[in-house]
Amino acid sequence: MGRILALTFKDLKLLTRDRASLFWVFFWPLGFGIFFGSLMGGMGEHGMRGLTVAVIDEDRTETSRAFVDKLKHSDALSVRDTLSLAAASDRVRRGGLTAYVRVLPGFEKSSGFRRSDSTAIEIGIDPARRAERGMLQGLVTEASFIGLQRMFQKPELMKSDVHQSMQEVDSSGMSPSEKANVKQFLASLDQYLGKVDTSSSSSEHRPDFTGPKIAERPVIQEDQGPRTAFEISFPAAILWALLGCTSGFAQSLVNERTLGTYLRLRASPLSRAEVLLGKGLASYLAGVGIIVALLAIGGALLKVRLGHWGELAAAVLVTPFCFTGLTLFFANLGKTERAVGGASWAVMLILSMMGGGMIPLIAMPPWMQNASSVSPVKWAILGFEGAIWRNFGAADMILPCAILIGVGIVGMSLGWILSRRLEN
Amino acid sequence: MIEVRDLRKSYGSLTAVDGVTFDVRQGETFGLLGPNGAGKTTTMHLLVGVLHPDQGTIRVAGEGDPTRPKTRHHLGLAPQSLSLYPDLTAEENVTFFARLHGLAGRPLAARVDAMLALAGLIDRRKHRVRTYSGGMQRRLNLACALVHDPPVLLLDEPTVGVDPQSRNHLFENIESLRRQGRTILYTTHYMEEAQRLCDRVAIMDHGKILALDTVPALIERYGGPSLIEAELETPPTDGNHAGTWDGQTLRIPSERPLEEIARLAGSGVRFTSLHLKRPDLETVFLELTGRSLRD
Repeated sequence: MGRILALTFKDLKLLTRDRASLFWVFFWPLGFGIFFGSLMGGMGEHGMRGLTVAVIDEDRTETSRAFVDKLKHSDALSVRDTLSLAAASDRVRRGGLTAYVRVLPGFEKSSGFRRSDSTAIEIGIDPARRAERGMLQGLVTEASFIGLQRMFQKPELMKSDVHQSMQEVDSSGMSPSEKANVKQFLASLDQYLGKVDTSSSSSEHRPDFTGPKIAERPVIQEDQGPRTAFEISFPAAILWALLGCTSGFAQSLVNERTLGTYLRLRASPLSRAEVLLGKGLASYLAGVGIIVALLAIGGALLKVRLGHWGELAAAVLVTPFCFTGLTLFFANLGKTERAVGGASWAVMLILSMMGGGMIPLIAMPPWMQNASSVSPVKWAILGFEGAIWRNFGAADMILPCAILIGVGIVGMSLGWILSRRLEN
Repeated sequence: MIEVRDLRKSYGSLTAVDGVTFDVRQGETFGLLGPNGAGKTTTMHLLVGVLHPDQGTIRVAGEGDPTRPKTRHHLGLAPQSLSLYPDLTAEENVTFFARLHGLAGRPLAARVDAMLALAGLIDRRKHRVRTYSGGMQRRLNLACALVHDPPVLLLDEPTVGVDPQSRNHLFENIESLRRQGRTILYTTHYMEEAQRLCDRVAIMDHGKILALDTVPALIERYGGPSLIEAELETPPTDGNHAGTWDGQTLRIPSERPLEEIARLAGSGVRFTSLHLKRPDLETVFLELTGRSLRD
């Protein structure tokens, strides 16, 4: 182990002596984080985009299904209808969903003329999200009129509803005069419905009524998204630092070959695996050190939240592992620094572009967010964002960490295979 | 100390080492002499286990296969290219390579000091290697190979690109190591170096060993006669010589050149100039391959 550490610390010492490398792996990403964070300064809060809501249909009637369909067809909403109430509420609390819409039993009944004091629709949303709240209220109200629309389109449905309403009026606690008035209205409506020609009438000429009762249930989000733009720009800056490390250390291994020092390393009692391990460990430790330094600066000076220690530690320890794997892969792709440097940057720029290193994930359209999943950069950024402002718990960190470890292992394995080919 | 048997290594269709067999005895300085591309460096890389042979065996210091890391502890390699870190100081370079061989603490410090003294770099030990001259770097290259005190030293063209002063310094270092009884394998394409430093020399070309023996034995076997070249005041009148006269210079090949010169002088010939060219490794190489070592 002493030999491997000697190799590792030699590489770290060389990194500190190469001002150009140090600039690209630390000062450039730091400048990136500060510059773009400042540029996005007024956009610390989530920007408005399509609202992602969960719909839980507990009424399970034809009318409630029509209501859910109406919501699904709204351009302003992205609807998930497979979650339980508890799961949806939890996602809203964690910020994964804007809100949930719960269609309660009795929704169909309350969509007609019968009086109902019970709530038919429950919206779970954080009251602090005023803009989204207002927008969602409007969309749900609009959709809830689906029951009345159906009745006017099918007068027999409405007639049945009117007759039931008349019976309920008789047994209600209304004053006799009120009962008389309501019954007179319902009788007139019944008479009107008897004369309606559904084939020629258009819906716009039919009467309108208040819809089902909508109640709002506050679900306080644990977090309101990024508090400052630096919380978005710093995870990206960390990734740029790691990309710099990856390219720099990949080229350093090639540099050993061109200098001839690789031959000397291999002529020592170090095995090929130990040489790669030593180089990889240097790349890993440099990555961890630079991330810690960037986070420390972000936390101390730019209000980047570092409160989720466990999740943050996972991101700090796992992400450089992934990029160490990429380092060893790229290092053995070619025989010259130019070839390796070119290949590594060409691939990593694409991964970065797709994964949110250039455009923040939060600002990407949903399809691009899905497509970005092929890039380890996305999972690395997601891990840091999760630990900083997405309020990820340990369970939420498992997927990004597992993917990053997987990519790291694949990179190391390929690097090992390619290095054998290069040596012989 | 080193046993090489029927070693072969190819890169695609190019056969770099083709059935090489030799032994290097303990305490011997053994030279591999040949032009660039002869297969010397590939042989060296096979000897340190960096390359795996396609065929053949190597045994080093009784440990066996040098592809095993443990065996390589007995080897010190000074590669042909300057295998140093330019952004580290001389002291840091030597210390780093010593640590790769497991040295630590006081023994490490003592060996580093000794090696810097050997390289004549004590005063410059804290300076980065990139500020050194080519000769200083060559000396440091040798020091790094010796830092773990290996019984077998492999020197691959150690004087390439070195000024005469540093070359002499290196020769003195190597001769000192020779006197200490260290086993040295020395590759070069400079016949003067092989002649000066090596107990035995293997002449290599196109991946094969063409001849192997001590330098005098090689010269005796393949060098042919010495050549006397004399410019005379008047043409030779005595036809009793085996030479050729071109109207200006008399050329006489002779196994006993001094006796021949004495005989010519005794016959009354008056020399304007006299040059005696003895056979050397260059002549041997020419005889063996039909071309010059420096072609």
